[in-house]
Amino acid sequence: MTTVSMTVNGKQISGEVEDRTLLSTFLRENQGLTGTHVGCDTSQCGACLVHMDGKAVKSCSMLAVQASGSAVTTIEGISQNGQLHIMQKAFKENHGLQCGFCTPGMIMSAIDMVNRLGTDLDEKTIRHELEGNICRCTGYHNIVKAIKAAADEMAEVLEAAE
Amino acid sequence: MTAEGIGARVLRKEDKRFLTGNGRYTDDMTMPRMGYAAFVRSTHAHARITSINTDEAMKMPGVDAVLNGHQLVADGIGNIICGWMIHSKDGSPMNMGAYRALESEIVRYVGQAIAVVVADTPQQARDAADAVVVEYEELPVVVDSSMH
Ligand code: FES
Ligand code: FES
Repeated sequence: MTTVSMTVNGKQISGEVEDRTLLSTFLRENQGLTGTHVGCDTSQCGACLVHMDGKAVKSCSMLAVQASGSAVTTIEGISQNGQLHIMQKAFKENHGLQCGFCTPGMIMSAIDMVNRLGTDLDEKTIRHELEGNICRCTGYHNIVKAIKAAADEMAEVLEAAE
Repeated sequence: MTAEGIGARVLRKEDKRFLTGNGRYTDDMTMPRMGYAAFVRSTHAHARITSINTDEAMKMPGVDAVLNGHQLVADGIGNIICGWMIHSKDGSPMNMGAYRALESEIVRYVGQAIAVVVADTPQQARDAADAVVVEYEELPVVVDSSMH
C-alpha cells in the first residue's frame, strides 16, 4: 500500500492505495467521483479523460501513484457556483449527448482542445482532435457542433474581457 | 420562423446530471456487501477444455465463489436461449446453437467465458480469476479468408 496525495478539483486529498491502483479507480472508488467513466480501461475510448496539471490524460492508463503531487480536474470540477461551464452548456444546447456515458470525457477533451489550440477551431480540426474519444451512441455530429459553438462563445468572452 | 408546439426544438430535461458527472450508471453504484465478478476467458480460438482447476483460486483472499460450466449443468441451468425464434419455411424450428453461459467443453473463440469468480473487491476477483488453471487441447482454426 502507498499513500497518494493530490489536489482534486481544488481540494487537497490523500488516500491509501494498492500500488497497482489506476488513477480512474482512485477517483471513482476512493474519492467517489464517479463522473469519470471507464468505458474500456485500455486507452481506446476517452471516457476516463481528466486534466492533470492542465493536460488531458486518460486516467485508466496511469497509476494513481503517478498522479501523486499533481493537480487533477475532473468533470465534477468544471462548473462554478452551480453555473455550467460554457462547454457543458454548449453540449446541452446542441444535443451533444444521448446516454451521457462518453460525455464527461468528451467535455474534458474539448476544454483541453480549446486550451491547446485556442478558440479558432474548424470542424476538421475538432473531428481530428476527437480521435481519442468514442461515443457509442455515435452522436458525433452534434458533439462537433457543440464544441464549435462553445469555442466561438469563449472567443467572445475573451474579446469582451480585453 | 421558429416552430411552436409540434415541431419546436425542445431541450432535454435529463442532460444536467450527465453534463456534471452526476449520472448514475450501473458501475457507479455500490450496495452493502456487494460482490464483484471477474471472468476466466478462453485463450484459444478453438479448443477442447481438458480440465478446469479452481483449487488455488478458491483459497485466495476475499473469494466467495468460483463457478464454471460443470456446476451450471449439475444445477440444471440450461443454455442461453435465443429470444428470436424463426421457423423455417417448412415450419420446422430453426437450428439453435448450444450456447452455455460458461463453456466447459469446447471453446469457439478467444474470450469465451469459462469460469466466473465472485469476490469482495474487483482486484481480488481479478487475482483469483488469474489463478484458475484451464487446460486445453487445441483444435483446428481458420485464420485465412480463403481455404487452401
Ligand atoms: S476507459 Fe480510459 S480510454 Fe476508455
Ligand atoms: S452519448 Fe452515449 S456514448 Fe456518447
